[in-house]
Amino acid sequence: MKKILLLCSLALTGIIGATVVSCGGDTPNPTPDNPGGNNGGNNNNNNNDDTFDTSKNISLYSRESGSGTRECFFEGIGYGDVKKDDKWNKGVTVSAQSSNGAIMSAVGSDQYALGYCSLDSLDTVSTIKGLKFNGVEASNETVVDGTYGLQRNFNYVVRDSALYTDAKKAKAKEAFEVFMTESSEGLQAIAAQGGILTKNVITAKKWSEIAAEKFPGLDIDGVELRACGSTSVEKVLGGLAASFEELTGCKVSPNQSGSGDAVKGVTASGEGAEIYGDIGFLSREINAEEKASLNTNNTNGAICKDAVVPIVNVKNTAVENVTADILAKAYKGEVKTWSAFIEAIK
Amino acid sequence: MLEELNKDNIVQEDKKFKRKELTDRIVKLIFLFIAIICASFVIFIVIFILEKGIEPFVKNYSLVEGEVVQQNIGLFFTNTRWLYDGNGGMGFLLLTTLYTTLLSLIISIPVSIFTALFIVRMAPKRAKPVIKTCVELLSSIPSVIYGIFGMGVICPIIQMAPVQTFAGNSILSASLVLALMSIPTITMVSINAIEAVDKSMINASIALGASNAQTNLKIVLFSAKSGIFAGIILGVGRALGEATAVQMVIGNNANGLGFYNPLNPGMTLTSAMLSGIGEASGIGYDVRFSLGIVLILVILMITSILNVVKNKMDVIKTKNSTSVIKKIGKFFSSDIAFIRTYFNDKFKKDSK
Repeated sequence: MKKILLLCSLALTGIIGATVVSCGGDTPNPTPDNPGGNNGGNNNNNNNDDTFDTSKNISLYSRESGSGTRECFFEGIGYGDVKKDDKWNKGVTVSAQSSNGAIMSAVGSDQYALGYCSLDSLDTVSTIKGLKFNGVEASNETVVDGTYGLQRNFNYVVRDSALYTDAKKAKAKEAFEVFMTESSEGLQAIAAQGGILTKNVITAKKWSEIAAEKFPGLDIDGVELRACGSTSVEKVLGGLAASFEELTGCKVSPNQSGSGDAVKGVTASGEGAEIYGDIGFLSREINAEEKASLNTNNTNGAICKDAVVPIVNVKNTAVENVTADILAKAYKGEVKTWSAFIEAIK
Repeated sequence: MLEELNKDNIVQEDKKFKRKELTDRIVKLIFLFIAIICASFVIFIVIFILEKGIEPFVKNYSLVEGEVVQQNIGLFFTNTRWLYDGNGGMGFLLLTTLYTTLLSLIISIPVSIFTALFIVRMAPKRAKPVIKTCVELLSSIPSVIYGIFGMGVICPIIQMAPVQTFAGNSILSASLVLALMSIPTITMVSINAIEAVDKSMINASIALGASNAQTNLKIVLFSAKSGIFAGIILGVGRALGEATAVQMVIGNNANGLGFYNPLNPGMTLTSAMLSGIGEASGIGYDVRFSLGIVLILVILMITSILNVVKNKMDVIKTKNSTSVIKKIGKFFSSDIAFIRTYFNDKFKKDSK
């Protein structure tokens, strides 16, 4: 026991010693902005410092592999190798955060961070700053007119009507699909939750008109539908479900776990299945493998758009605009420091 | 007449006694059956993980249209990138896991042992139950709370280090969180072990002129070492298997051998399994079960090695110990034989 305690204290001293030594050796190189190579005499050049030291390395942040946001971002900047997998170049350290909130809070507390998040949640955190992409600022207008490059569709896929034994439920599913893609109430609900619409809400028909036309005598009060798939769509889905329940009495309960479960859920054999869904949502396009398991009755399409914005810490005053090329270089490890990054933009 | 009555009484008493014994034995068997079901869940889980975990090495997955992949066994151990295209490696994840656990133990072992020693031997009578309850409560906090605490408190503290970190997301943060999580486990077991130390040994030590500190460190800790070691084994198990809290603070860097620096972000086996599981499909989903096999094997191996060490520490060794299976067999055979003879007798009597 004495030996164990002795070993532990030795190791502890070793770690503290090593940290002190490594900290002592970390003197930043002199730069035009920072000729002394230190932060104004402050030896503790930590990340909470207010001055932005461009000689520092870029801390790269990403979403976890499999995330729709990640796929959209890396596809957009032309670095497709890492859109699904962690095929980072050797020596590149990237911290993968598992949610939009996590990446925003990490970038918000790391002055030298570079990351990305979805446009919808950008304004919710004040410690981060969205960057222009190829000179275009991300906004609903620039996304809809296509000038903003880093965008993706929120897609849906429905269950085959032939698989239902309960005709009422099949009808409810069909009604919900029409509600979210065509009715003005549905489109409004999507827009209210931050989804970027490509259809015009004003010219869209009211649900009462659509119901009378396509579903005469529709009675789906008390029916419960299950949604599955992407977690990114959860907010939009929440708005849609509340509006649909108010109008028809049919409940849509979200069981979101990830885009990968959308097709799995709607093609699952029955309600007892591990993942079951009447409607599945994806924050990416349906891939070839998934398409193969669908038939013509599994109608699918886009409900709205979302955009991904490159973000930095709000204290990073040196960068306002980025290009696809420079972002790719940073994530490839070819541009390591902020000074090189700024140089490359010029 | 009286003799006959007595005889009847004796026969009746005998019957009652036999019936009681029978119910006792049947209840015992039912409990054994339930216990076996409970224990066999381990086997079910291992079989399930094994079956799913082997799939990536034998099944064909289509990643891109027309292209079929399988997990490469060689690269699974050697590649220093964690990928889902069949070429991913977990060797570095394993090393990071062991390193993180080791770091956490270096912090948690001394803290736990000294806390336990203080609680049992030095704390004032009134403070003792309060501190003990606090430590007990610490063990009941869910891991996600530890994770949030790590994100909100430990990471910002690590970020204050005079070197550039990833917002404090690092192996050191994960180790600190794990140390916090394993401290209550090790402390509680150590308290029991220290409390069980023979009072006469302590008195003898003091009578021989040893100071209190000498007695505590040399006599008490020495006598309780086997128990304390059992606590450490439990702590190691907790640290190795923790996923949620680790994934929230470790930074999840799935690339390369950067873990030698505790301030770098890293990825453990558990955080690799958890990170992005919701979005995974195909080989990316199934290969997590392969990681599960590795994790189970590692935990089994480490705990059994530590148990061997612990057994060597034990001064008194139980001799002539029969194997568990033999004991269970014995247990079964005597009870079943008794029940069988009881009913045989009864049927014979009834048929008469």
